[in-house]
Amino acid sequence: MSEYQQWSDLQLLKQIQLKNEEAFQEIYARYWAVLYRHALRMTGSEEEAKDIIQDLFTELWDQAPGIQIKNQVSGYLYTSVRNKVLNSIAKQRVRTEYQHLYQKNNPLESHITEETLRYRELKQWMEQEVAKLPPRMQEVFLLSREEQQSYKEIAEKLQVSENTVRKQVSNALKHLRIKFGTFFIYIISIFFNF
Amino acid sequence: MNRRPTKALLQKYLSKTCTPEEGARIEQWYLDMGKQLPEPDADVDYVGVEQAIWTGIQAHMESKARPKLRWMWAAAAVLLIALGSLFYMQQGADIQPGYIQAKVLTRAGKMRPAGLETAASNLDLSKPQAVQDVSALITPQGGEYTVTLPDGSLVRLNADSRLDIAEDFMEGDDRVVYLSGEAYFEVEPMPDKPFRVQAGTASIEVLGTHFNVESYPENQHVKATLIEGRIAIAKADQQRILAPGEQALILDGSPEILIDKGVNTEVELAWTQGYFAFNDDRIDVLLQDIARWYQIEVRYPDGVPNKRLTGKIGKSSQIDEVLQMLEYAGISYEMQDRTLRILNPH
Repeated sequence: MSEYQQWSDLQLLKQIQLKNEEAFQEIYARYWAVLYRHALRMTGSEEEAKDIIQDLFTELWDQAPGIQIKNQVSGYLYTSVRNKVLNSIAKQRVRTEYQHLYQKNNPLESHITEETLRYRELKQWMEQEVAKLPPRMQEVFLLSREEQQSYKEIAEKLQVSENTVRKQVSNALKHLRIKFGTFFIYIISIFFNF
Repeated sequence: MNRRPTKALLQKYLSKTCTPEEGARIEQWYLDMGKQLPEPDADVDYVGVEQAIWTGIQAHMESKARPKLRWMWAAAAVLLIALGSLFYMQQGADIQPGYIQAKVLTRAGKMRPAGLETAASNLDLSKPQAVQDVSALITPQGGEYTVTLPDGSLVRLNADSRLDIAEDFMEGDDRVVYLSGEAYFEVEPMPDKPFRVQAGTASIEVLGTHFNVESYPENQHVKATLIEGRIAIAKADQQRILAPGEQALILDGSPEILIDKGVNTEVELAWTQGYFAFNDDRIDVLLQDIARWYQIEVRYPDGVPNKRLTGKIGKSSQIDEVLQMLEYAGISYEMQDRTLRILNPH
């Protein structure tokens, strides 16, 4: 197993910008399933969803050097997958349900005008879908995710380096995971996610 | 009313030429619509799909990696400039110590990342099922890697180094490897088949032993330190036998083999134990190791300070801790854009 599992998304991205293939593979392992699940739901086609995810990651690899991440790597990936789905819709390569859907009025008439709120909603929605993935894929995603957020918070509170926290938490996690199995992953996701 | 945006509007959005209101409407529509869509089928073959997509991505990466060298250099230059400004803004926060990584050059001339097997040996070429197509191992700056050769000998490659394995390594009269950079060897004894390290113009012949060879081209020397056993080091028609604890030094362009009988082997091998150790070393010499590991450049605008340092520091230390060590030693510096400038006001 690769040591990159311990790295944050941002550290991985910086390695990807230097064309580190293993770092790229780790980001792929973390995100492909969440993104695929989303694309599948939106397009209704396994083939189309597959193409979208493949495009998205080849672009990430090719264009990594020029990518400037303002907030989070996940945000970049989520908005990219949304744009790719929108592109498929524009090219009418997607399911027919759209033809009906767009004629319904939106029951909640209010637009969320704040861009960050819309983004947050997209992110929450995509990440909730994680629960529907096979357990192994959930684990890769949730662990990387929760560990990063919690490390930062703990490190700030205790005023120690993130690395110190990472080492200690990873030991504790190993112990707890054996005890509680997958159930434990749900618990941390509830505490740290939103 | 939140209607489906027209094709034209979607295209405007995707090319980032729509107004903020139009953008907000599309993004909101996307969310609302998505939530009304039915669930995808539950029985997706995730393992198969993961593999299929990855295979497609890899094919793309390989097609990009090979030709167009010229284009890549241009891209690399742009990347360097972009990264340079990024690092400048983040003031060194991005400089990470090195880690275990290497690339494998195959006999077919292909380059691929070397995997990680165990902590003891990151790549084992002695296993019967091992892929025997490895022609060379290459560690980048900030990389380190351990390989078990087909004969069971262990080689630990330091950063920015390359080890080529002779094609007839097991079949020839002797087991030959070529080294550029630094490596520590633990050679399996094979009485009828000597092990030979070709480093620059020097040739080191061994029967079974532990030793370190350092031959970074920029250092303009070959340095072999024997820990255990017996090695013969040869250059042109000169040859010297080393005893444990002895170090041979050959300067580029000189036929002479200099022997240091009282070398501190612990310091010489510190890198294999996970730390840098310095024993009354010159600043520029010790900073070369640091630069290779943290991928930084060192400059001496005022010349090299006339100071020597003794001490050790872990290789997983953050660059700040390394710089602090310099500060304690009374050396002033400036860190910017991955370049360390050693200042010497006197």
